[in-house]
Amino acid sequence: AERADGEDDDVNVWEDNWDDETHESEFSKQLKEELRKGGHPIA
Amino acid sequence: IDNCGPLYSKFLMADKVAYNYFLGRKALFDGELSLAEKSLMYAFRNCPAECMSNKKKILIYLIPVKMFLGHMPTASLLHEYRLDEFQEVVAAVKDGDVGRVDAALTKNEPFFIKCGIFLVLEKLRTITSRTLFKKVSQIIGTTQIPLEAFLTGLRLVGVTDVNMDELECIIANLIAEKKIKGYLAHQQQKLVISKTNAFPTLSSVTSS
Repeated sequence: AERADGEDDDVNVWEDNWDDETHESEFSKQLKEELRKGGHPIA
Repeated sequence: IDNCGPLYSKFLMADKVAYNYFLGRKALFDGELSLAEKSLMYAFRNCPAECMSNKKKILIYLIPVKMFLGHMPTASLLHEYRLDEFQEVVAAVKDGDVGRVDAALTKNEPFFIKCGIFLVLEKLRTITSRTLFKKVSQIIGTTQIPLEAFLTGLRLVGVTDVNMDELECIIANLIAEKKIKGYLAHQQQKLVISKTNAFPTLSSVTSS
C-alpha cells in the first residue's frame, strides 16, 4: 500500500532548526573577532 | 501519467516509484523545487527499505532539494546511506562558510559530477551567503549594516574575488528571492534590514 505524508518514520532525518543559533559556533566567534578588528561596532 | 485517472491505482508501486524518481530529478534541474520535493519524497518513502541502493540514488537528488528548502539532512542519515561525501558540504552550508562549501565541493568533485549534481550544489553558495550575512547582521546588531562588514565576512572565509558591486548584486538577488527583508542604500553603502525577521528561515521562503 501507498505510504502517505503523515506516516513517516524518517521525519527526524531532516533538520529544520539548524538556523537558530542556540550556541555560538567556533566560526561565529571568528567572525565576530574579525569584524571587531575591521573596526565595526559590535552589538 | 498524471492524467490517467483511476488507472493510476493499477500501476505497480515499483513503476510509480521509478516514475516519481525521474519526475523529481527533472524538476530539480528545472528549478521546480516543490515538485521535486514532492516526487522524490514519494519515491523515497515508497521504495522498500531493503532496496538500500535505490533509496540512496533517490537521496542523492532529494538531499540538494531539501537543502534548498532549508531542511538539512542529519549526519546519521548521510552515514546510514554511505553518503558521507555530503557531510562537509552540509556542515559548511549550516555555518554560512562559503569558502568551506567551495572546498568541500572541490574535494568531492568527481563524486558529485558522477551523480550529475555538481552544478546544482554550486547553487548552495547562495543560501550559504545568506546565512553568513545573517550572522554578520546579528553581530553588528543594528538595522543598518555597512556593506563593508559583509565584505569582511566574505574575506574571512577566503572569498577575495568579490568587489563591492558584486556584493550588492548578491544581496539584491537575496532580497529579490525574499531571503532577506530589507533594501540596499547604495549612496550610504549600507544594507537596511527589517526590524523583525530580516532573515526568514529558508523553509518559510518556498517561493523559489
